[in-house]
Amino acid sequence: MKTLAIYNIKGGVGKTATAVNMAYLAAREGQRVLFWDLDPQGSSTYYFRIQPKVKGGSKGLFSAKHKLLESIKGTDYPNLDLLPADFSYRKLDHTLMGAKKRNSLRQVLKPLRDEYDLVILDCPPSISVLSENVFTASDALMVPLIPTTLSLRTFEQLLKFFRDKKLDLDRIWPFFSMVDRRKKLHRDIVEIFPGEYPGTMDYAIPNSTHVELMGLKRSPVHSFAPRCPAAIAYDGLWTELRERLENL
Amino acid sequence: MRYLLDHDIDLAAFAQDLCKKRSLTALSPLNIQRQFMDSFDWRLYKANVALELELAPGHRKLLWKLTDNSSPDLVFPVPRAKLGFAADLREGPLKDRLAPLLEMRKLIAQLTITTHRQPLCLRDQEGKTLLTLNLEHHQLQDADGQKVEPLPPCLTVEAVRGYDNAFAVCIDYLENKLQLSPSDTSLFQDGLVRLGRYAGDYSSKVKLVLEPSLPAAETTRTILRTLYTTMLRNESGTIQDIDSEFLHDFRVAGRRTRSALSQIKNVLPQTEVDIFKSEFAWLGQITGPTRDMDVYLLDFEKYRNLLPELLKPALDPLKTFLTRHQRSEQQKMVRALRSKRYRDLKKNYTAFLEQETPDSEPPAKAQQPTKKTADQRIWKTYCRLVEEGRAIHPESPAEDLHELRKTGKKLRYLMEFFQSLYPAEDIKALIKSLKLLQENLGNFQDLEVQTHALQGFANQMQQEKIGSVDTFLAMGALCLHLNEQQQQARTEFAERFAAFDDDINRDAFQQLFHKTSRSSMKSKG
Ligand SMILES: Nc1ncnc2c1ncn2[C@@H]1O[C@H](COP(=O)(O)OP(=O)(O)OP(=O)(O)O)[C@@H](O)[C@H]1O
Ligand SMILES: [Mg+2]
Repeated sequence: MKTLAIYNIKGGVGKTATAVNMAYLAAREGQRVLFWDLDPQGSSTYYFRIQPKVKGGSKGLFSAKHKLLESIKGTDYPNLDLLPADFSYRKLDHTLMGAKKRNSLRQVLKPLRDEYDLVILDCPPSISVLSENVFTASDALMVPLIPTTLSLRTFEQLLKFFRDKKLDLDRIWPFFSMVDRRKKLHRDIVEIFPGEYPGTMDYAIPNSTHVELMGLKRSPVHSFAPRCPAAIAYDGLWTELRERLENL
Repeated sequence: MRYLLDHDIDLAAFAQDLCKKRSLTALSPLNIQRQFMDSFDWRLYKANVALELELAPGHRKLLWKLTDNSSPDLVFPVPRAKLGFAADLREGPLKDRLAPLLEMRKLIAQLTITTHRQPLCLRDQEGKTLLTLNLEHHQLQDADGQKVEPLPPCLTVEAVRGYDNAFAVCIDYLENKLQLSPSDTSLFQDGLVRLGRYAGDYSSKVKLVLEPSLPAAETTRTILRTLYTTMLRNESGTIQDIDSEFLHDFRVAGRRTRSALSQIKNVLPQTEVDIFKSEFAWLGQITGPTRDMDVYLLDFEKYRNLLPELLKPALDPLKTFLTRHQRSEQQKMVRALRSKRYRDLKKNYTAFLEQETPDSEPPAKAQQPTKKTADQRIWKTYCRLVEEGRAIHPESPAEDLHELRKTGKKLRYLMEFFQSLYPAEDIKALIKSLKLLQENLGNFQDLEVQTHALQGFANQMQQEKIGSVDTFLAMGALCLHLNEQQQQARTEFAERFAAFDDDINRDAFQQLFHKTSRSSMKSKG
């Protein structure tokens, strides 16, 4: 079982859109995928049309393993299950804070090892105790970057955090999201950045109305527009991601 | 969950009624061709896996189900190329699962059913599916895809993880309101039964239940008949070259037949036994070259991996050569299997196996009880094996080991034929210990043959202008490796034989096959 987090300190950069589509593509290939919506806003839970409710709240989640298993819901897509967000996740940070453990999330995932091939964590923005848990629990972090200077600055903050905590920087995989080819700044950054950060993924996701439509359709982009440019870009990104995960 | 419905049920009306009463949404109906895939020898089934291919316009699914339902079904995309060998699949989760189970065997459709399916969905107010009901009627196709006959219509319930309540309510409705009772067989099983078959109905192993007191002649015919059935079941796959194991099993059944004919002595009429011994030997000869090529091809990756990275690509022309020769040997073999001699062999042998009454002068031991014959034959062959084995010393020629291997094989076949006459655990343990010895002898012999064969191939390849200097260099390196392995097998022999020939084993053989009258008196007292 591999664990992949989709993470960025910044909000609204395409984390959830990426997580949903990567999970969908992995499952479509026959991987057993668990999608964990760690964001109390529950956007991905909403995309999958699932009611955000975890039995016993977050406290229960981290104390009793079986509660976690009971909370898993099958989505409308084969091989793809979801652990829904719950508003009581607001308490999640506190729960973890109380435990003062960087490993709680990792421990929680352990019993799922034989049941799933891939766990995808859709993370809320900001750096918190939860995100530290995410860092230790994940084999890799995909980081969507909008090609703007501000966006790159927050990425620097993430790198610094990793350096300070002596975490493995090779497991941070940035890629460009919401790229608008009409903007010179976007084109320039997409061009230059990979030279400065060689771990950057080759595929970029264009700014796309189809991705925006996911909220309306409440489903992954492939299920309603499988040949749109964004879907094709996600295909490429997934192929690259799969290869990287295999080589971990 | 699956419920059988009446043959004459009006599915459309039933669906409508269900939709109204249980607020279900009807999805578009599908006409699906369903193929239940497995290897000829049921390797998936034996691993508790049912692999089902569903094909309909806009609907292409490969379902991986565990027959004990211990985990939810997996759905794989259908590969573009026709399903067959695991080795031909793209890297990915499907290949990862199939390859270790199938090995060299090819997937075939064990059963084909055409299903008309009306899916009905239960959704919540968010539009999320909580469960799916499928109303289905089925048409069964026979092995040739010809005759089509209906199977009882059914209703299946697909639960969705985490929606146990919806499932329970639905089941309660079906079972208590509609009085349906769940079927304890699968559609696949029902289809097979209708064709007079069952899952796991082929195995290359000899599985016989023999009666110890029956006359040896009768039992021997039973053994021969079973072997012959196995042989015939592999005949068509051998001729079509579906995968290498059809021919392998075909040959093994023939070899066992020859062994039974010559080892179970003085039980069947000698003139006929002699004829069939030589005819089955002929069958061994005409099928041998194809099998050899198969084996080299099966081992090709192993060979490649023995070479240093640099030389690996240089070996590819050998594969081309082997593939080409496999094809021509296969053609030659098919011609022989269509010859009059082969047809006559089958005709005469069938008649021979059907003979019931002993001839006017029955062979000396024809009427002897089976158990006694088994004891005698196994004990005698065992003694011979031990004698031959003990005579082998570090300087013995390769032929001596080869002879020993043949004796071992005879012993193993006898023990397998008569297995059911002895306490299962005891005889299994002895067969296993014999296998360990045979493995060593087999290795030694195969490596010897392979080294010689490679030399022969190199010559032929030169004549046929296949391969570069590097290729021959690689084959030379390969010979060296094989030779080393052979030396190792030779060194290990003494140890292996000693392990087989230890006191415990010897006592066990004696206990099982050669209880002296004294010891049997003892046990009576
Ligand atoms: N490639 C894209 N093109 C156009 N719009 C996009 C694209 N990706 C995401 N969006 C839109 O941008 C918004 C934010 O996307 P998303 O929810 O995926 O980001 P996020 O990083 O998960 O946000 P948050 O930090 O709030 O969790 C959504 O409205 C989404 O529809
Ligand atoms: Mg999000």
